[in-house]
Amino acid sequence: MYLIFYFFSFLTILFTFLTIIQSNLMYSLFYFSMSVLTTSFIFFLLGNYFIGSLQIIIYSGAILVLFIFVIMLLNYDVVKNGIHNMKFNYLYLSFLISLFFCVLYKIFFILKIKYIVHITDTLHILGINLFKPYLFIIELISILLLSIVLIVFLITKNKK
Amino acid sequence: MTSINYNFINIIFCFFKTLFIVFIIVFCGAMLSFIERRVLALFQNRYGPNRVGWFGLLQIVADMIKMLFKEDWVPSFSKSFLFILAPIISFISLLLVMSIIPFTDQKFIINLNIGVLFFLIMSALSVYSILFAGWSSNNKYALLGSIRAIAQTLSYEVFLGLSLMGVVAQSHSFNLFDIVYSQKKIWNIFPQFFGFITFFIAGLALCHRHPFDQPESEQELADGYHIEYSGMKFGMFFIGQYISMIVIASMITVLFLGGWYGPYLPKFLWFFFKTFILILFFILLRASLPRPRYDQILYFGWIICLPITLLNLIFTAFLILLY
Repeated sequence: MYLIFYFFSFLTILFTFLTIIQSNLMYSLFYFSMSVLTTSFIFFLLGNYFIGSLQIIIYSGAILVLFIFVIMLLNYDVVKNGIHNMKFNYLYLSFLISLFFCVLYKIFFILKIKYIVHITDTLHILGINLFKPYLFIIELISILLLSIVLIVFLITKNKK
Repeated sequence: MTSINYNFINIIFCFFKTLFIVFIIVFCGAMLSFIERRVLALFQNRYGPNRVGWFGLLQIVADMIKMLFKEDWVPSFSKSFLFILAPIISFISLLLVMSIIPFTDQKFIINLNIGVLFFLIMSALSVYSILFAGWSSNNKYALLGSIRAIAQTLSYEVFLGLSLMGVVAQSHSFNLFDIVYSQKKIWNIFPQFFGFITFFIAGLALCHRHPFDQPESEQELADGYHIEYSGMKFGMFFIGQYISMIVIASMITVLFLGGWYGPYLPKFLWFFFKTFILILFFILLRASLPRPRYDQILYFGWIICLPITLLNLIFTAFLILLY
């Protein structure tokens, strides 16, 4: 049981790493879908079947296929050059990294219950848990996501 | 000692039962190609395959021999790993759904609590086979076919799940056994009629049957995403399509037509009859409907079917809250 858990955790980390270092966009997305799949295997292993299956249906099934679909339709070289010529704005980057460390700090040092998967069985309990003890983390993560969306918007705007 | 022995016998029994059911399903999938050719021919006022065996029954054996001994060619310009992986996903993903389907209340492989979700997982993963096949073949017809297939599957997958939610709300469970038990008095096709219609359409689109066979339309795309495949790899795509047809038909039987319930006859026969009639209906649709244009299919999915499923779900939830 522990062996399988560590095996899938290793696979998840490996595939996520490969997603980042891969220069070919298609392969990068394939690795990302693999990492999503292995994450859902961990959910299944921990006994939370509902979230595990939702993870596959929504992320691996719909959203990633949509990404790959868009990249198939795009002019491939433009995308490739756009990523390699991207200039990092260090202000945004430091903001994002500090937000990320805020989340980590909250999880490791302030929260008493660290295992979200052991409490949740149904969607009802999950919703209550997300909006009571984990509210601050959810807010931080949503701000993180919003800033990522803004940065993507800026990058695509600068290209033209 | 005895408990270990008992466990061992139990495991062996389960293994052979599963193997037997898988064999039956694959065999039925192969035989369906013969049945479809014969029925289509009868609709078009000819006789169909009639050279090999009794009434042409051995046509499938001849086809199989041809496919097995053909040269299994992996094109040098393709991405070979994904190229080989694609037919395997196509064959396996919907075959796995057969494991959760209750044939009767005694005959089943596994009783999963997330039955409906498992079906949705596998239908979501089956998209990857088309994607890999179309992209790794490095061929413009294959790419066009797979782009069409993905756009179609993505837009139909949305209300494939939504149309089932009415049934799930009525039986308060994702478990397929609970769903069948909840239909003891009345089959779900009557209270969930719009759910049935939309699930039927989405199921047709999921297994790329006529009139939703955009990805492999022979006249424009020369076979679509599996154009570069030959031999047994093509055979896996081919049989995979018939297996997905059986899976969709038996899912409709379980979810909307009351599973094994029916008077007089044994339970297994009722399940078999319902599934077989649905498959015949699939073939009849292929014989009678023309193929609509690509944008018309997407328009139909998003503008007509999605609102119908949403309204159906809201209405069902309203009625459940009321009573």
